[in-house]
Amino acid sequence: MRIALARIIHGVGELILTAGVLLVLFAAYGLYGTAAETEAEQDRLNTVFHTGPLAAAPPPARESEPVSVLDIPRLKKSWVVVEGVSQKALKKGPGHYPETADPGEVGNFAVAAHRTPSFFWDLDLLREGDEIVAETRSTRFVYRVVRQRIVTPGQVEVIDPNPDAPGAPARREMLTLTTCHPRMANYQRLVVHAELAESLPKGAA
Amino acid sequence: MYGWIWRRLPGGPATKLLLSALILTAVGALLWFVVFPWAEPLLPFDDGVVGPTS
Repeated sequence: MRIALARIIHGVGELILTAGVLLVLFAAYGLYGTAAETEAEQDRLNTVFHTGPLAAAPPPARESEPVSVLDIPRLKKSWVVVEGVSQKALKKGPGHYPETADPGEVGNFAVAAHRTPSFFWDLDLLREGDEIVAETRSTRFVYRVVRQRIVTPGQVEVIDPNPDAPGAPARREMLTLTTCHPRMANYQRLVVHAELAESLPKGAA
Repeated sequence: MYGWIWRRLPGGPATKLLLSALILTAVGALLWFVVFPWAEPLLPFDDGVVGPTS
C-alpha cells in the first residue's frame, strides 16, 4: 500500500517536472524560435520595399505588404512595417493598424509588434524626445517620443486619430507604437506616442 | 516513468546514456519544429495589439 502510494507520488512528481521543462522550452521558442523566420521575411520585405515601382501616390498596401521602414536609433533597431495586425502579418514584422493614418499624415500612424527580442522587446527604454523614424519611399518622417503609458488591451483610444482627445478631430501628425506588457505576458499593453518633428524628402539630401 | 524507460533501454550504462541523449534530442526537435510552431498561434502570450483581436 505504502509502496503503491510512493510510486504514484513519484509519477506525479515526474509529470509536473516534465510540464515545467515543457513550459520553459515553449517560452524560449516564443522568444527565439521565430527569429530566423522573421529575419528571412524582413530581408525579403526590405528588397520588395526598396525595389518596387516608385509611385507619386502609392496605392494603399494590401495585408502583409510593406508600408514603411521604421527606425528606432536608441534601440539600434530597424524593421519593415507591414500592413495589418493579424497574427500572420505580425510574424513578418511590425504591423500597421489598417484604419489609421499613413506615415507623415495628420492623424495617428499606429503600429503594433510582438514584445520579442526581434521586435519591441526594449520599447520601454524609449524616453521623451527620442527619435522614431518612419521612412517611406520618398520621405523620412522624424518623430519624437512625447509620452509612454501602460493601458489595458481594450483601450483602443490610444490608436485614435487624436490620442490626446479621442473622438476629437485630429490636428497633429502622431505615431503610436503598441506592444504587450509586461514581457512574456498578455494582460496589458505598452504604448509609446510620438509627434512629427520634421519631414525630410529623400531626393533633396 | 523515466525509471521505466531507463530499465527498458538495452545495453550497459554507457549505451543507455547515449540512447537517452538521442531520445531527448529527438523529442526536443519534434517539439521545437513541429509542436511549438503549431501551438504558438493558439497561445499568443506576446500579443501586442489593442482592440478586439481576431
